Amino acid sequence: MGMNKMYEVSNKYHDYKDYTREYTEVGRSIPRLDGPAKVTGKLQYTDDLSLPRMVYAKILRSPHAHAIIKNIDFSKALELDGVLDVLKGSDFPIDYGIVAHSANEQVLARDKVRMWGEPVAAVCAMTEEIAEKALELIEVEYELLPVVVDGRESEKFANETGVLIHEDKPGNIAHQGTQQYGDVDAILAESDLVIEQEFYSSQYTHAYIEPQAALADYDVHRNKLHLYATCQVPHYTHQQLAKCLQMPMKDIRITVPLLGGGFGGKGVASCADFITSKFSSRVGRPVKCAYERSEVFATHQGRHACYMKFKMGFDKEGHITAVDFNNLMVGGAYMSWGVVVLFYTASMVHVPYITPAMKFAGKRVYTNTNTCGAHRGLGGSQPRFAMEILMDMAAEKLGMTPLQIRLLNAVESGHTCRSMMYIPHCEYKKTLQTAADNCDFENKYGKLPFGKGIGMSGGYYISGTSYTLYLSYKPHTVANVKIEGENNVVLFCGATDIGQGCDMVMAQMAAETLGIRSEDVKVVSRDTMLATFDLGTFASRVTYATGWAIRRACEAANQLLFPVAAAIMGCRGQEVGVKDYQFYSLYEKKRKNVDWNEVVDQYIQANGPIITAGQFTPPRRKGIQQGGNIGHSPTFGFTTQIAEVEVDLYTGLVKVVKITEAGDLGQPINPMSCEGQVHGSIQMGLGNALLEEMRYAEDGRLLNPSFHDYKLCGTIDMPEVEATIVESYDPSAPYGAKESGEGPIQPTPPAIFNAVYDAIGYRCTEQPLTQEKVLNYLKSIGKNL
Amino acid sequence: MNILTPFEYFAPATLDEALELLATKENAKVLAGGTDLMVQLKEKMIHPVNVIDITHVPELNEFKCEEGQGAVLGACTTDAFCEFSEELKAKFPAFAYAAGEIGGPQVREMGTIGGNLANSGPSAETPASLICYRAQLVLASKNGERTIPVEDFITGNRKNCLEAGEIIKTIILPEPAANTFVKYGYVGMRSSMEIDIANMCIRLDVEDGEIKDAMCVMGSVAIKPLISEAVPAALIGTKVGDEEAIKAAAEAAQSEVHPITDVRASAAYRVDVIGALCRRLLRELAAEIN
Repeated sequence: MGMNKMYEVSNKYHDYKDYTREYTEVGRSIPRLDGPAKVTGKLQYTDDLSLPRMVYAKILRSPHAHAIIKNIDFSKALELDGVLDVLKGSDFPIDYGIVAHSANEQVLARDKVRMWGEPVAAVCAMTEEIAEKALELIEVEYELLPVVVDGRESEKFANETGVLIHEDKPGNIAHQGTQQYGDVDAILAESDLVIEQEFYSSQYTHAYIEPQAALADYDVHRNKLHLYATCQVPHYTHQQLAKCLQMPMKDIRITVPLLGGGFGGKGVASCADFITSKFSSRVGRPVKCAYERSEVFATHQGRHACYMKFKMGFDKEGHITAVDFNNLMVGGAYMSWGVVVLFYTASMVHVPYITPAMKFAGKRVYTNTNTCGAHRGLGGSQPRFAMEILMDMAAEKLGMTPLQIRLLNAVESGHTCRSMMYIPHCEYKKTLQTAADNCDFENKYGKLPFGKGIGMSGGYYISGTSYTLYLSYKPHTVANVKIEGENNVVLFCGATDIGQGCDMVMAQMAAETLGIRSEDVKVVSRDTMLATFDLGTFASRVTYATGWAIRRACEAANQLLFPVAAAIMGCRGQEVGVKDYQFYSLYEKKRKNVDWNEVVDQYIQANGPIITAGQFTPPRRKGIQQGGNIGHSPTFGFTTQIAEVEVDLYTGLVKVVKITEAGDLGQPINPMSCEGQVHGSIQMGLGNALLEEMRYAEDGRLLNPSFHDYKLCGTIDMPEVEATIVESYDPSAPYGAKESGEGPIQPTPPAIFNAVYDAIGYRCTEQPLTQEKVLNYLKSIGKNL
Repeated sequence: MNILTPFEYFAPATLDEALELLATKENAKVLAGGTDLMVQLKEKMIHPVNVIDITHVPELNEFKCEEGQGAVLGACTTDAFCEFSEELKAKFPAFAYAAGEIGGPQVREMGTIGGNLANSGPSAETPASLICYRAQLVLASKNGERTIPVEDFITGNRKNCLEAGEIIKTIILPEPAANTFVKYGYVGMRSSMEIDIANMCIRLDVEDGEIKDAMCVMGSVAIKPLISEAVPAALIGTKVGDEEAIKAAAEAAQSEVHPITDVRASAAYRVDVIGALCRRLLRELAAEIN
């Protein structure tokens, strides 16, 4: 299927059976092949690795949130037996950052620190214990600066005190932008209903189980670096290492061992990557640095807190007329993904409801708090939280149910947003109806006894980005397939399995096209030298993007094998199919099948091994302005969640009893994995809704940098989850599959907030929905027990 | 996070050996499960020279719970043992329930009742119910043994009356009277691995539907378990389940607490939930008794 055509065809197919084939490998729920080895501790993560003569590094972190570094004295630390080397800010004169044109992060703070926990110096020593002791012997002289923690105060603080967090950013404004599609003010003035409401979505962390770690092995004789790192975007780290260490990319190799989660947090290079590399080149030994949990909290780059002002207009039938969105985004100390996230919050307003007019004014401000960055569902979660509550507020005013107003406004396949964002394929309505039917929503909403409630929310997310973070026109992903006698099938693709299971999914997609078993495909990934180029794991891009590359590589291999099979079967080369290790003639009756191994063997005997390549770059669209390209994706996944809650009328504690989910993720490649994504999203969203929040003291100290004080929901807190994958197939996707791991986190908080409203009438618009807030409301209406 | 303090580790096999070590080893810390001690070591809050692991001492692992004889628990009885013991659940349900609410399953497998008491944290789960059950502690040192009520044991935030070289040897739970009813409750933010925002245990001694004696102990609202004076005063002489008395008791409890605001909850919310806990426990007790 030609790339330019693939969007146009998608909406012509309403009966999926018209073009879906019977899959044998895609759609199989295969448990992770590496599952047993992971569970039994056999597999090694970065911190488990050990190399001969390896030594250890530790990072000294700032105890102040804003201070000038006057002096660093290493003399006592260097006297400690076993200390090999030290590093400070001036050893890394070049800034890094995931977005090249706004990169302003320092490996080690050079002149001043801007947040608590910022890396200031590093030590390399024979043991981790010695390195840790040496940290205590480093003397840093700070001159304290005034601190601003509250994002709402940051601009005023800068103007009144003259203290800027970054000298080149007046008003502490990291970035700001506006977008306007239509005369929103005029449309709102004429709308039958306008709801105006402020919302706050809080800052939280990814809480991946595995803390960052890096092990650098620098060959001082050949000047080549091999870095083992906990990284979900090896290519971007590769680039930034080259830049900061002033080495050519060709001399750097990054291997990513297994990852224990990332959720966007490992989508940026870590300080450990840089200092271990530098130390290793200086001491001539492998150097390892593994973060403690408190260090993860100090540098996690989690979800941006947003202060959002919405005006949303409706006509009297309930159609959305216009949305006016003002977003103040609290960025923390550095830029990270900031610009991208800011414009994502704007883009994500246009879907999943038809939005005829839209106006956005956004500002990302600096504060002396953790840098915020990419976090599962980046830029989508915050406006989704607000808008799904707004939809319920509007439904109530218009005398509609939450389901009715959503069905009325839901986008469908082939929708073009005002921002020119194009939705090739969408079964959102089906997810709404399925979820509502599965939990009898219409008969429960508004009808449960006081204290019990049910609430609905939609969600969606991109399946990749059409634009890269830097100007490059090369393919976003490449796959190679090698078929040889000795190793059978090996798939090379540099995508990064961060726990979501793409190694399994990539094998399934390759096996599908090659007509063999998924278990027989060896996957080489997560290595910048051995595997092929891939941008990395973010934006739910991997299944879609690698899928096309893999399918094309495998089809190219089939083009070599089909003629051989055809010759044996006595049919035409173009009339051959393959599945279950059998080539078969599509038409020939006499000899229908030939064994796959026989054909491969004949080919290899004559020609040698097969090596083919495939690649993919998402298509771009014309006519995009105002930064509206951010958010464009080849396709989008959709989801609906319905939360059922019970409020403890004594304490205000909200117990989520059940979440009923229905997802449009196209054709699931591995349904078991997809369901896992939904469960994981709900677990994360549950904490976001009820418990989680980064808390800072007035002086910028993080108050809860541990799992002891930063509360996540545990397995015991999980509600019953009923997840349904609705029938769907995206013809623009290589195997019909779309995003499934970031959309499902978006509806969880608003569904819970809406359910609490249904339970007790409390319209809370600020995260998290703590039991204290709920009890205070219950007291205010005299309903607490 | 590494333990940077080098220490000598001892694992005595008998009580005498343990007490001898405690008497002679300077700057020693007792390891009785380690769910708090190991954290304090890693956080560099303590710097012991010697660590004495008492969990292998048989006398500290004894357990007796015979008909009409209350119960005797060695200090190193694990939280999980108490949580799942059918005998304890039948005779001392509030204590077994409280033990089952400590930390999470892994913590309860390692943690011990003696350790929970000796750590003397203000939010500890077990002291409130032990006090309500009138439990006594046998403290042992090389110089001999002494017995004190649990309520006199904890003296402040992580402070207790253990003297140098002294450990908790046994927890003695007297047989509860047939007309004694005890209930424990807590408020946290999640169901496991939680530091209680507040906890409470209430004991009612009942005759013919009337409260003859009462006790209310609150945790996490003061530097040590707070034994209420006002709650018994509001309850004694009233009928079980009397709503006026229940509300008065809750207000009485609230009048006595002066909690702090911290990262977990505000002082105001803690005061609110003390009232809520008191009302809930008294209503639940009434449902059980009537």
